[in-house]
Amino acid sequence: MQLGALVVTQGSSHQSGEGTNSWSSSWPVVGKTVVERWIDRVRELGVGILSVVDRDEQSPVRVTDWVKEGVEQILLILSGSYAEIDFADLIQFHHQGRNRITRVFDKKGPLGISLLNRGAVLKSGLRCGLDETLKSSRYNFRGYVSRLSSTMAYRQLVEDALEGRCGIQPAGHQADEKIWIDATARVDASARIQGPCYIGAHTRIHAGVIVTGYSSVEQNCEIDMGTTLDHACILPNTYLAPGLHVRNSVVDGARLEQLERGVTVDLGRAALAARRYHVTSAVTRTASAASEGGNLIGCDWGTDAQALMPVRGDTHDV
Amino acid sequence: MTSKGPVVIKEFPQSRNFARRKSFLSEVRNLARRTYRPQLVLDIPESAEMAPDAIELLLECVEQVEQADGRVSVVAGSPQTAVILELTRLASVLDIFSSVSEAVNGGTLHRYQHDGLVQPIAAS
Repeated sequence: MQLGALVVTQGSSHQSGEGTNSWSSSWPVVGKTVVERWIDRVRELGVGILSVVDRDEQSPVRVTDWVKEGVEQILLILSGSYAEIDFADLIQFHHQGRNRITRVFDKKGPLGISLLNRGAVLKSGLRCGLDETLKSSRYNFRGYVSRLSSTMAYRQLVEDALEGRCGIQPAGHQADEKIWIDATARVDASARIQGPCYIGAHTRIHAGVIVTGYSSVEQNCEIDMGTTLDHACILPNTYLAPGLHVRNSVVDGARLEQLERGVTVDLGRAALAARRYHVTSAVTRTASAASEGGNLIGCDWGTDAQALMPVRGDTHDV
Repeated sequence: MTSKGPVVIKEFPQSRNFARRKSFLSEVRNLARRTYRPQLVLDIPESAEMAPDAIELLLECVEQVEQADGRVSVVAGSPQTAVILELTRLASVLDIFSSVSEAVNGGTLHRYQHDGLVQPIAAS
């Protein structure tokens, strides 16, 4: 029996709230996005066809074509949540009950995950998986679920992953108890890394930095000298200026969301953070020469604010 | 002697004009020179942008007032300002309040009437 899987992402422009609580499905959770984790888990099932589509996409995948080509069941995942569903058990439940449509629920309601029979798909197309008013069988799931409806929920998922409260395994190698550091990350010898925490690929942690309190620093970030991260998530390609105290926050480029106060601040105006981007080595060298004492030669990353660029201190590869 | 000095309320300059900021700092210097243990309350308007020069000016105010054994309080007009003050660790050297009345509560409000320093926002 051939199984197809369709993962529907929230759309490139999606944010779950305006101003604050603006979680996006493109945010990685200790190394991989939730969508990537769904894909990994679906692949483990040995699906025949797997497709990932954007909810806003103009020409959605024609799942009716899949069933015409021999796919018997379609697993539909709307990526608004992270749930550790035992797919094999779900398929068995669906098969044993001879269900046309099986929807997964937890105690709070539907999780946006459905298993569809070819008959249901041929009759109603993808609508049979999206329309909750259609008759379906209910699969009750009581395992770990995170409804990623807010930045706070995202932050909680990161904490749960670092604490081992869910099945998410942080990327990178485990340097110490509950400390994961990617092999390509550079951490200064004087930096204090207190687990549980995560430091992603190609990230640079400068002298005197403190990373503590279930903090995660995703890929291609740069945390400048003396900055403290406490219960903070730093999203990819973010530069943080020296001497800051980032607490209970999620930082994405120059945008900081303080979870306790529920406010969003543009740190770019205060020159406290910036978006890092890839620059050609020639540009990097020019910037390095312009910044006294800077040692950016060999580093092919820059920021959107040259004033924030000086990089000092010895580092060692982890 | 543990009594606090006068409470002086001043509006923090919004303008990024160098001359305006220099004149503001000079007013604070005068205050620190002429009073003992001043309690300076800086009211940062909601629309104020916490640019690096504003942070630097705040630090200079703290330095001046501390030389007179005083204390600087800040009325953060917006939660964004409060977040930036906390982020830059300024919260450890000054007190942050959400309103002027909260900032002067418990202190003896003193209308500083020198060099036009009386502020319209002073609590009565």
